[in-house]
Amino acid sequence: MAVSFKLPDVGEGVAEAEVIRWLVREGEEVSADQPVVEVQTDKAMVELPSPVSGRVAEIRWREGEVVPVGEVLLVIDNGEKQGEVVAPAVDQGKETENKIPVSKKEGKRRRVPAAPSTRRLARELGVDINEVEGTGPQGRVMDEDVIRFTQRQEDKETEREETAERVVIREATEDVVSDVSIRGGEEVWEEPLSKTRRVIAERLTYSVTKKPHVTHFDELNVDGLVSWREQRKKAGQSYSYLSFLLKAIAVTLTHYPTFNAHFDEEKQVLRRFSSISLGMATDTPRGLLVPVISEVEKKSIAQLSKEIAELKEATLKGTIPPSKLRGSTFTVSNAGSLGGQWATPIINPPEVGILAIHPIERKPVVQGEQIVLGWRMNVSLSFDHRILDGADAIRFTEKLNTYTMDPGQLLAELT
Amino acid sequence: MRHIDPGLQYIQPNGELTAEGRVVWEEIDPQLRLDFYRWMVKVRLFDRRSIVLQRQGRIGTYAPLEGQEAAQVGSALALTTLDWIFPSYREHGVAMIAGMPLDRILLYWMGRVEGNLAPEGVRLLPPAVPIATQLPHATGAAWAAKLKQEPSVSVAYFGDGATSEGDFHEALNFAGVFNLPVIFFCQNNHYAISVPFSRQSATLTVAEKAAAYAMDGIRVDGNDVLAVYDVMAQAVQRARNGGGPTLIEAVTYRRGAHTTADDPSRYRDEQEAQEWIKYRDPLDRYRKLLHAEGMLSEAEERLWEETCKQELEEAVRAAESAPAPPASHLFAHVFEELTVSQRRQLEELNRGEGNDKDE
Repeated sequence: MAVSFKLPDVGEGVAEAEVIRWLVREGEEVSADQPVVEVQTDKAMVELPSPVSGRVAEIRWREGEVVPVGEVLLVIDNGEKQGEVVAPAVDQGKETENKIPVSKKEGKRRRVPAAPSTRRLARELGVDINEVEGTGPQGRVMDEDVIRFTQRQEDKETEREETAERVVIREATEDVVSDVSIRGGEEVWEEPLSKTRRVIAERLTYSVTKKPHVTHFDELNVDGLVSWREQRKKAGQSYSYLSFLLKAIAVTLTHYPTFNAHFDEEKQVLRRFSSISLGMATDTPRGLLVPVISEVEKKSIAQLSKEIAELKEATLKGTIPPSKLRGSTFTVSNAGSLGGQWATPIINPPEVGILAIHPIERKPVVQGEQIVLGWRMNVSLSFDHRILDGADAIRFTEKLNTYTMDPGQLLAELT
Repeated sequence: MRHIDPGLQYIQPNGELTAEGRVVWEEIDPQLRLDFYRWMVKVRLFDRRSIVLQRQGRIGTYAPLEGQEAAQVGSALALTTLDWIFPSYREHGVAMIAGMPLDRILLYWMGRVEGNLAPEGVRLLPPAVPIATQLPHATGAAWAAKLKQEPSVSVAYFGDGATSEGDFHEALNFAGVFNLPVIFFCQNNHYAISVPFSRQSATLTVAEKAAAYAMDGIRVDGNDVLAVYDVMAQAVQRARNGGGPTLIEAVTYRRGAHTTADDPSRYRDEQEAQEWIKYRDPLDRYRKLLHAEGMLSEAEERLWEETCKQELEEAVRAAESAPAPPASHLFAHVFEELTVSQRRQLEELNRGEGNDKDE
């Protein structure tokens, strides 16, 4: 018989959750307590386990849709002709209506975070608090924001009156607001950011506004690395450049451990780590994701090569567990396969550095009195200037250069 | 935080006994050594099962305790049925040992009033959800015991967050002044929901606060079940013999979220969490010790886990088959005398108005 699994209130008073990923497909057999779907509430990402064993008869919501608490997520056929009550929150049988997945997203607006006193202030001033941009932690709306909002409204009104016949000279801050009306009759598409994109936006904004970024550019000599890889290939072993580079970066980090750290904004302390967990910024259909390889210092290049391939596949397929997207201590952005010459990567907070690596190319290089061909690779290293200085960055890339130029040097230092 | 003294330790994280620990180990009843293990496993399995039940919508918000088993099991096994227990909302392990049936603990998390009621003879109060309010209760019960010349000891269980509350100070102050038979057992898991201990307290430890109330303050490795038991047993002994109150700080870590409603990765450092989970787990450590002592085999472990799981399933069945609460419960347990509007609502209910469509 059909057992309907309704979205429970998984977070103490949440009203809805977004379906992030289905872990099962229609027709698939599931066992009781097996995770079937990942959902994201305002508070946390959680996996929901199936209440019964059986076959997934129906999945009612698509990934990305926001489901109200109490709605049926999926229907499982438990194979019994008629069953006992399985769980109070689970309805049995009689679920025929409303079979077509419907998106409830339109017109939805999230409740902005704010203290009750701030909400009262907004009410008293006749302001819809959801329209106010919060400047507090996690976008929390503060009293000042509400007051600033009312002032801006007043300014706008005065301005409107004063400029009836004049060209409006906008303030610089207003220029960033996209105005649909100026596009005339042209078609314009508006869409909300996806959850992943919103998280990316928040983190990047946080990083660039909190961290004074400086980016150091350098060209590395990779002659040794290229010939090393060729030799390995001839010997029947295929390693990606990235696996070697991650190892070399890990060894470089052990020389300059301040790069392998988090800066805790709240406590204003730098937290250094003995182990190296490298995030790999990866371009995926869902947006930029950063899967993490932990304990790089303990792993061989062969192991790294294998793990990179697995992570890449899982990331692209969207089957990567959330735990593998956390805990990095330094991030590497591999732009090598895409192209480009330089970048100014944004640090993945709370880390203090990020290294972008660019394509390996043949370039003319001066050797003595001659111009010869050599293999070169550009790198762009952004760092948090509160913690590190330009000299640190130069030392870092120069150390990395000693390994890419001569892998024998890396071999000499491997533990 | 890591360089602060971790507190008294008998079983090291690698499962080896310290020299002092060896002496205590030899002294205790061999049955107790197995009880430590069995309870910790049962508590952990209960905890994991409860989280699954919550994710399936079968119980409400739940406060997980995984990682804190040694602190709860070690301390609760040092108590007797004479003693009064005043828990917070995370003390399911303590409740089980005190004699609370598993299905009743589940009923509590289903929002049922029956879940507050301990069986006859079990001196366990309902979990205090407001922070630190149970501390003055424990002090009061200890004062009563002293006045009545009863040999019972009161124990208040609380977290590090409770030490920032006024009730903490009042309870300890009174207990110190009147030299009462009460134990303040703090499980310092380092976070008051998301606020780290360093943002709650200017002192580096909870234990040192005892000096202000002229009582003993002891810091113990809360993931070391033997050390916790020994410290607690001594405090109980002292309290029973008129030696007055003790503040115990069991240093521990919850492996998961504060409750099923939050995401610890947003406020805790992943590396820090992994360090506790991988290298300082209370159960792993104790299992290693028992294996080394030849007191436990893999087969026995599987068998015990299976026994616990069956018991848990029975408890889940019992809790879920409890008859639905009458709607009059809404009015029964908060007000001694109903207000005018509540009386009207009750009358409406009795006339059958406002019932939902299922009835």
